[in-house]
Amino acid sequence: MIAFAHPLALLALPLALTPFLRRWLASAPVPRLDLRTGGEAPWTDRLLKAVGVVGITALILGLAKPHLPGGTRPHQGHGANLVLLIDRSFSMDDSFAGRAPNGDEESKSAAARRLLFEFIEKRPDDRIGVAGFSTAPMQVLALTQSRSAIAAAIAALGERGLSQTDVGRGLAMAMDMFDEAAAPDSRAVVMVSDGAGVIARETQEALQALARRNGVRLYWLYLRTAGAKGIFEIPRPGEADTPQLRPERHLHIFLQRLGVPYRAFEADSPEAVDEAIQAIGDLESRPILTLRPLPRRDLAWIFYGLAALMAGVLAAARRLERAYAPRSSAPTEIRP
Amino acid sequence: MTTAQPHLFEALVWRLAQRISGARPGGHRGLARGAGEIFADVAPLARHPDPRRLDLRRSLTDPFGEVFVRRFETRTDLTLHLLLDASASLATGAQADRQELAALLASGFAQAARRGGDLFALDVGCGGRKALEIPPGRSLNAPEEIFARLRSLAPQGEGLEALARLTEALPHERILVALISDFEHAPEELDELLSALRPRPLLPIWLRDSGLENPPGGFGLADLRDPETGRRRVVLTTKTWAAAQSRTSAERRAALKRVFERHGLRPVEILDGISIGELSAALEEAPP
Repeated sequence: MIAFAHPLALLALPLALTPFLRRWLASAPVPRLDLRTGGEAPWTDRLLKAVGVVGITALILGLAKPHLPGGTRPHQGHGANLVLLIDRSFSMDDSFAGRAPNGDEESKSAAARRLLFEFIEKRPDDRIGVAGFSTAPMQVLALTQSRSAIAAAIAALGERGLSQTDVGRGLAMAMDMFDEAAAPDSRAVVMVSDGAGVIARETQEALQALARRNGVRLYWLYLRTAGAKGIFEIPRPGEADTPQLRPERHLHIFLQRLGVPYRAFEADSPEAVDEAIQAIGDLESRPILTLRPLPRRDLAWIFYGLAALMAGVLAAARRLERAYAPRSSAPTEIRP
Repeated sequence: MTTAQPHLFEALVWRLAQRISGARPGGHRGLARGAGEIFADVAPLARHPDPRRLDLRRSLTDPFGEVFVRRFETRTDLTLHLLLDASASLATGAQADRQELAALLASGFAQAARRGGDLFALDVGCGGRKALEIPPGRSLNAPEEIFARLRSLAPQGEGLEALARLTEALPHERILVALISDFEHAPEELDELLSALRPRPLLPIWLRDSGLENPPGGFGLADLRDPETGRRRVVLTTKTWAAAQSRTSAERRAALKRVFERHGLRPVEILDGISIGELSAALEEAPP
């Protein structure tokens, strides 16, 4: 349905009737037309009137800026509703080697950002939200399809991190971010972090309740720094195994018991991160009904073009305009 | 008023000075013989029984003893009644300014009538309305004034109705009716007017315009409007169209001429401009 940006301009539409009031060609007085038959072109007059009416109408419609209003249209794609939960702790700014990055290396957060950019580019149908956590969790971007917003949100994570790593509240926020539009079978939280912390008892209970209610799938991409213990490593007998000393391993165990589909990836280099993200992408690709935005389509050019065409026809008619017989300007002659 | 105008008047005076029959004394040399100033001839008393003009010498010297009387030319007067058809078509034209031509001719006739001692009357019909009326009179209206008034007249109206109505009031004798018109009429309309005017002596003067008769054939669009009926028509002008226009125009002129001939008339045709030589010849040839 065509809409108008300046509907007030349509008030000028009665002007389109002017061809019925004013004639386009200058008329030449010729006596006794009824006796001067032959060569009539009755369609020419009607055609000129029609061209005038169409031309003026098109011009006014063009001025009213007609457009097809944009909107959204349902789209059956492949993807998921993803919340990227990204660790904003201080250590993320270090390289995988555990030191401040020099010219050849990139920091863990930079690598994660780069690979996430690539990831969202390859998946146009995903709805993605972004949250960060360090001392406190913060929602960066609610679930959206806007690629530019997502890219900006991920880029914003390049700011320097804070000190603490409050995984529990971050996870709770991420799980809470799914809205009504996210189908329950395609909800996933991707947590990217290089460490973990102890989750308080009450937070654990809240997480379990949230997980049961929201039915998310959970992925943990653990960016392992050189020298740090892996999350899958079972401590040797005699070695201390407490959440305080091995928070990553215990978080893994807690998440496994959460009662939702869960998978952890351990990456100690950008290549490994890439592989892990690919794996998550493959796993989280199922039919999803999303809304694709339809841009507003400007139609004024069609009307302006039509008006220009009609003006061209009228100009051509004016060019061809002539009198019945040219009027001589010579004075009346009296010859002897 | 142009410098050539005196010549025009001469031509008209010459035409009007030809003998026209009439019984009332006037400025023209009449065909009738009787009492007058200019001696004409002698005739037997039996043929011209006017004993007041006995020619004694001729009678006495006649070997057969017949009685003769002198006869003199009578002088007659006449009214030159000019009818001008000033319907809206008079203002149209291409090669000619027909309104100016009409004004020139009318003032020329007025001048000629004044110099011939005749009465001059003018009636201008604009379609169904009488636009200007000058009753028969002498020298009351200077030709210059007639020219100016006709020049500033706005031709309007449609047809010949006013002129046709006028004809009823025109006298049948001692009148010369000059009818100036562009004759943009159908043959039937012309026939009607001529029937009403005849048998008065009639001098039709036809203002023609070669531009309107033969339009040029260049390709184009022309929006035509009939000034009398308001009828409009857009035509695509081509060579074929121009040829068709010239043909129908010629056919119509021929049809009008046949109507004139049926009434024993031959119109004086003024094509675009006045040629005094041709006008004189035409005036001479025109049947009275």
